[in-house]
Amino acid sequence: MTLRIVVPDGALRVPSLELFAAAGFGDDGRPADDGRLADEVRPAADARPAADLDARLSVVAAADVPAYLTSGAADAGLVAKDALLERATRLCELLDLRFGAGQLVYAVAPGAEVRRERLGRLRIATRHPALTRSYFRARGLQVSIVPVDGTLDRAVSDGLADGVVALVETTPTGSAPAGVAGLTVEGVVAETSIRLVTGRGARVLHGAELGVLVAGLRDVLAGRTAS
Amino acid sequence: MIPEGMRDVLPAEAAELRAIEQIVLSRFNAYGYGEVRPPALEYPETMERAGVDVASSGFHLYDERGRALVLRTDLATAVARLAAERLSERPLPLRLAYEGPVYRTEATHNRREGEFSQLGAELLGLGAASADAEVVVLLCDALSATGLRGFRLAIGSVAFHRELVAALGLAPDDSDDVFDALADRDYALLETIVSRRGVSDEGRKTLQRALDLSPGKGALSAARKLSSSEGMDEVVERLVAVQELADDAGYGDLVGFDFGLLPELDYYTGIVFEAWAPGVDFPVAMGGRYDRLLAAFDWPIPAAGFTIDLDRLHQALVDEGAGVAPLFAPTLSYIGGLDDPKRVGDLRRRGIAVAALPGDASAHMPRLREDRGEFLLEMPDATTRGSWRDVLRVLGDG
Repeated sequence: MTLRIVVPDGALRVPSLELFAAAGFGDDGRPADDGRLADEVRPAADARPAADLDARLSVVAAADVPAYLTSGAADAGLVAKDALLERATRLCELLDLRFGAGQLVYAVAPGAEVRRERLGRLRIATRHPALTRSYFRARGLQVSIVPVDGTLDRAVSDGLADGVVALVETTPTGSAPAGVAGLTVEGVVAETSIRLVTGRGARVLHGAELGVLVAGLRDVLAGRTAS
Repeated sequence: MIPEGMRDVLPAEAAELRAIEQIVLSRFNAYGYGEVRPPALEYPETMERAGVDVASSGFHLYDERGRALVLRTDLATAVARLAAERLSERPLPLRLAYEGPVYRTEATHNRREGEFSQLGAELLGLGAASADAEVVVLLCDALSATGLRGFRLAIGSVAFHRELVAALGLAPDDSDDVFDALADRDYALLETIVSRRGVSDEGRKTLQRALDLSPGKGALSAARKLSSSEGMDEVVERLVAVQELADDAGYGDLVGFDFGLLPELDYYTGIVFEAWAPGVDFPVAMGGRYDRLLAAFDWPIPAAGFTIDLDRLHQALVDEGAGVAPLFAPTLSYIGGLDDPKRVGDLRRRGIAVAALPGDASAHMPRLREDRGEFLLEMPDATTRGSWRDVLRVLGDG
């Protein structure tokens, strides 16, 4: 059988395909339905020969990957941990691929404390409303969540919100991460990185093939850590 | 307009669903399972005994005295209640089958439907591995009988997790985390927890091997190697016995082992299993051993069983391209109508559906009419002219 793997479009596309290419899966990592890849992804010089696994990669919108896996339209895919948590999907995580790492942090504007004192609750802009809700509920804090699609620190500077729960790349402690510039980081809501994910059905129906895939990717990751 | 989460079923689909129900129930009967029909309404306390959060997952209503009622959220629990109240004097084991809709509010589960039909079988009063095997074999038999080919059964054991955590020497807090990680199928987190908690390299390797993706006998032999306590030995031996009995029954190839399988409902106490088919977003069937559920109804006897999701099974059959012989045959329109009740009656007795009013002669129906002493049968692909006997031969038995 052919293992159908979906890879997210956008910033993660190239690193994702490079990883599969390095592990020797899926025709040098070049999905059949994406001509642009030829220029962007070259098989690594040390790429292993393709394992004994027939895999077909295809690139889909990042937000659609969970739906492909839940419905059984694809057998494996790459999803960021924060997206898994936000959607509370019932998918199986097979492997932490360790790229696309970051933190979902809670950060507030200067003067937010005064607003909290006088108005009782802060307005928090976020693209992760579900995670934000459970984070504050678990701490007994009442906030008003402002779901936004645009730039989060802009939501604060434009007066839409008093703080944000925003995704930032992992940076050395102490420095203000890009994305929440000018804000004070108050806490970490969740850690994230890209995960190899499968649906519950695919795990039962294609367990052996997924095992080969995981072993191959695990080897590449071990090599990266060592070098 | 109908409420969110509800849906109408029209004749073509209903005919196939009815056919599947009859096939499955007849397989249940062939193993000695008698049908029971609990009511649609139960008391919330009844459903809560299975550990179901009825307050948020149930549709609630009140009787005329203001007592809270709930539309049944699950048939296995209703059947356990029925058995404990009505059948506890009968000799054991009891084999019970059921079929019907259950109701859950949308917000609380990962499926879109608020109403869906379950078909199930429960074997009460036997705790042996052979009883586990009987329900596994019955499920394989019933699913195969519907024509489903691509399904696989993943079998795990709740007891295995318990023994595994004990064997790895994890503290109770950590073991809760491990259970959560397993329940979420978050293997990445599982690895992190185990590496953080100072579990030996040996232990980590065995854990990884036990949760290995390769299903089937490989996982079982890995589990055997892992076995370090009497409790674990017992769990593994039990699964080996189930595997052997499933092999003997000819279903060994459909059965695999998955020690990462952990259902949401915590009423399972031993073996647990899920049946999956390609292209379906929810298990076609799930079940296991639940030795404490009947005790919640003051009848402490062991029990095992499963529930088939009728809509998912039907969807899997359609996706596979399998034909489901509908019980509702295409209707023949008989032109000549009510003035020839003998002929119409003859056809209907033979199981051929006939619409016989003058207005029924619509173009898409096969048509039968009398023409100069002979009969003319116009089917979509062919026209037959001949005697009444010829007509019956062409129509076969319907």
